[in-house]
Formats: sequence, C-alpha cells, structure tokens
Amino acid sequence: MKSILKIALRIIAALGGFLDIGDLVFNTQAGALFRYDLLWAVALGTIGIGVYAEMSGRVAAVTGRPVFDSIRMRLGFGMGLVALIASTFVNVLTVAAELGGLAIILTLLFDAAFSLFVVLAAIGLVIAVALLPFGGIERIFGYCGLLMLVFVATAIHQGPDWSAVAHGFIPSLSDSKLYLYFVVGVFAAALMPYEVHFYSSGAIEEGWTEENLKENRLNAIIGYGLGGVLACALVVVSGYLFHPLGVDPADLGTVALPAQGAYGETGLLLALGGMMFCVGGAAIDSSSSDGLRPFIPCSVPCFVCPLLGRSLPCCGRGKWEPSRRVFERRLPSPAPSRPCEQSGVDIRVRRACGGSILADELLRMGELLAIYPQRPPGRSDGGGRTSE
Amino acid sequence: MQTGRRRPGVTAVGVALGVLLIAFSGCGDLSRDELNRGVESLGALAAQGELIANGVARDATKSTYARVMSKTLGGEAEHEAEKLADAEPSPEVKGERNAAVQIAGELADLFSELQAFPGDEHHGALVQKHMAEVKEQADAVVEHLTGEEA
Repeated sequence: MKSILKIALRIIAALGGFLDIGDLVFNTQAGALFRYDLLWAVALGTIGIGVYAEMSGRVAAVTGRPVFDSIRMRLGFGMGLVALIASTFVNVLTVAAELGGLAIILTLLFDAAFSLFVVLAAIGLVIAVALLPFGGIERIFGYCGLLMLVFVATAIHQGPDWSAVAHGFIPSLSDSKLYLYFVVGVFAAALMPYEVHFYSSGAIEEGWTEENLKENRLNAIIGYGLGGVLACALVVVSGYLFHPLGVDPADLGTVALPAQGAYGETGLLLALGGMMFCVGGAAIDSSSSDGLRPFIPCSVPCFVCPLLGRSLPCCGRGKWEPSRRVFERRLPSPAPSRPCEQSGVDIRVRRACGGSILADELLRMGELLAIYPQRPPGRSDGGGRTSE
Repeated sequence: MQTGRRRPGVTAVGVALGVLLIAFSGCGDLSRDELNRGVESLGALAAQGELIANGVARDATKSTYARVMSKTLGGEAEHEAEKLADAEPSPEVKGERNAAVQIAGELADLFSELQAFPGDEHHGALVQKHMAEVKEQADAVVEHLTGEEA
C-alpha cells in the first residue's frame, strides 16, 4: 500500500512538473494562431518525452548510471563532449528563459522592478538547487505545479466544440511556414533535454534498481501522459478564447487570462501560482541538469557539486578503475562531513568528492579519453557498474 | 602574372557599399502588407486590453496584474504608434496609416488609464467599452486594406 502511494505521489509530481516556459508560451500561441489544429503535435511530443524518459529511467535503474554518463561511455569522450555542448547550450538558454519567466510572473503578482525579481529568482534558484534534495525539489515544485490544473478546469468550463478538439488530434500538415514552425516548436517544447537528465539523475539519487522498472514505467507513462493533458488544455483554452479575437499571447501574463475569464481572481492567482512553480521547477531542473559533472575534476570544491548537476554523471565517475574497471582505486575514503553528503547526493558522489586530487583527476580524464571501453566486462548490460 | 592580392581601395569601396545596402535595406515606403500587419497587431492589443479591462470591471482580477499588463501592452501600442508615424507610407495607404497612428495613440491612452486605475470597476467598464470600439476601428482599417472582412 505504501509503495502504491509512493508511486502515485511520484506520478502526481511528474504531472505537476511537466510544463515549462516553452510549453506555456508555445502551446498558448499555437492555440491562438491555429485553434486546435496543433493538438496532435502536443500529443506527439508528450509520447516522445514519455518514451525517452522511460528509456533513460530504465537505463539508469539497470546500469546505475544516469543517461548522460551512459552516452559518454558508449559513444566516447568526443561524442560525449558534443552532446554536452549541445545540451548545455540548450540548458543555459532554458535557464535564462525560465529566470526571465519567473521574474515576469513575480512582477505580475507584486508589481516591483523586473530586474529585482530576476536577481531574487536567481538567488532562490541557487539556494534551492544547493539545499534541496531531489525528492524535495520534485515534491515542492511538482505538487505546487498542480495548480496548473486550473487550465483543465477552464477548458471544461469554456465548453468548446469537443468534436473540433478531437479533430485536432489527427495529424495534419500545411503549406504555411508558420504552421510548420509551430509544429516543430510545440514538439520541441515538450522534448527538452533537461527533463530526461533530471529524470535519470533522480533514478540514481533514489537508488533505483531493476526492481523499480515497473515504477519507472508507470511514472513515465502516467505522469507524462497526464502532463500532456495539461499541455493540451493550454492549447484548448487559448484556441477557444484568443483565436476568435485574434489575440497574440506573446506576453507570459496573457497565458493566465483564460483562467481569469472563467474563475475570476481566484482563477488568475491559481494560474499565476501554477505557472510560477512550473517555471521555477523547470529552472531548477535545467540548471541542475547541465551534464557538466563528468567533465569537471573532483578537485573542484565539493560544495560546487549541487550547483553543477547534483547527481549527474559524477555519480559514476568515482567507480572507474582500469584494472578492476572501477574508479574507486584512485579515491580515498569519503570525508563524512562533506556538504555533498548533507545534500543527499548519491553515495558515489560523496566518494568522488572525498578524493579531491587534481592529478588523479587528470589521469582519470586521460583514461577516459584513451581506454574507456565500449562495454566493461563482467556485466551484460554494458552499464559500467562493476560488482564489488 | 598577377597575384590574387586585392587593392585596398576596392575592398574599402566594397565594404562601404555593403554597409550602405544593409543600412538602407529597411527603408522605403510603408507597404500595404506591412501596414496591414501593424494594424492587425493593434487589433490584437485592443482585444487583450478588452479582456483585461473586463476583469477590472467585474472586480475579477488582481490590481498588480492589471497594472503590469496594461503597462506592458500600453508600451507595445506606443511603440507601434511611433513605428507607424515614422514610416513613410506609399501614397495609396496614407489615409489608413494616419488612422492606424490614431488608433495606436488611443490604445496607449486607454492602457495608461487602466494602469492608473487597475482596481476601479467603473473605469474598467469604460475602458472595456472603448477598447471594443478601438478594436472595431482597427478591424475596419484591416478590412479596407485587404478588401476582406476582418
């Protein structure tokens, strides 16, 4: 019973944490411009992110390594670096956009200087990333993001032509370049890389094993699936209200207008609150998911760990040793009072942080470049976690 | 035999021509299409203003939200007015351009009124009514420009 409750709570958190600023803006604009015509692209993006998340969770649970680490191991340092640069670029842009979004929402709620809220949002973000464990981030932002359900209620309240809504799920293409641009935009907004990084890192931090595969599947399918419902609700409410009026919801504040129309000030506050937690959660996820960890020496002070991708591939790096195929040979015992331990980062991060010697790290990097094998012996899954 | 080295004067002239081309590529008469897009965006702003004013009129909004949104959208209307006023219209759309500038100015005024009284239902109702009228005017200009019903 307890495990069912736990799974249900995680699904709820996944649902609440599904949307980010890209979804909010693109889905609302898609509805305003093309009414319900792009619902199929939202559904496709939702399926894509669900499948990819399930796959990364499965890889993480079986191999004991987050997805980024697996990419680096399988494809080598060069390809790992390309993936790192690409995803870091996207993540930096995403964090900047999420910070700006947070500041806009705070300005709408409290009407003070935008720049002040940018600074406050950045400080809050750093504090949350540094202090909160994965579970805490997931719960606070995931549960509070459920306020976004007000958009589902608004869609029902508006009473759109449901047959037209259903028709929107049938894929269609058009010659219009703007339409094609929005197809790509809506799809890409659902498939942000940080979501998968964070998801698989969560699996590592929570110590998932093969026994958790069912939980992983339920999380990915139901959690992301229900998240897709929220994304579709944004398209529907916008298509219903903005499309006939010709409103261009280019401002983030405009996204909340349909909820205000349906439920007055309460609806507006729920919408703004939900948007704030969605955008804030996404900012934390993306800033925590830069994938830099496997490329940063363990000599970097340990307190930096939570700021540079909490339990990301650093989790695995302390394991590798050329002779035994584990890293732990080079690293001394963990120092028990290191901050990484306090922040609940995976045990392997602690071990890695305990051994902060630059020379060792350089050697390890050399090993990575030169001798990282495609498939470590002793395990059929190729994940690199060697039994000790 | 000539080497591939270019003379500095030729390069400088080439660069200068390129810069001039880029600098003046945005200039020229305000076309019917451009004006149409500008007026359509004014209509969209008026529609948003109507929704916000409706919230104020029903006391169904938060005053900070109404104020900040009015400020943002009013700024956009003002910017659109400046853009349209600065542009040199082609002769056949001069009248529509002037109408568009007037609409943008009215919109900016209405948004600033909403910004000043974000919690006043009476003002909200008045602004909502005027926003609807401005939207109709913008639609009429679009109709005139395109020959289609907006």
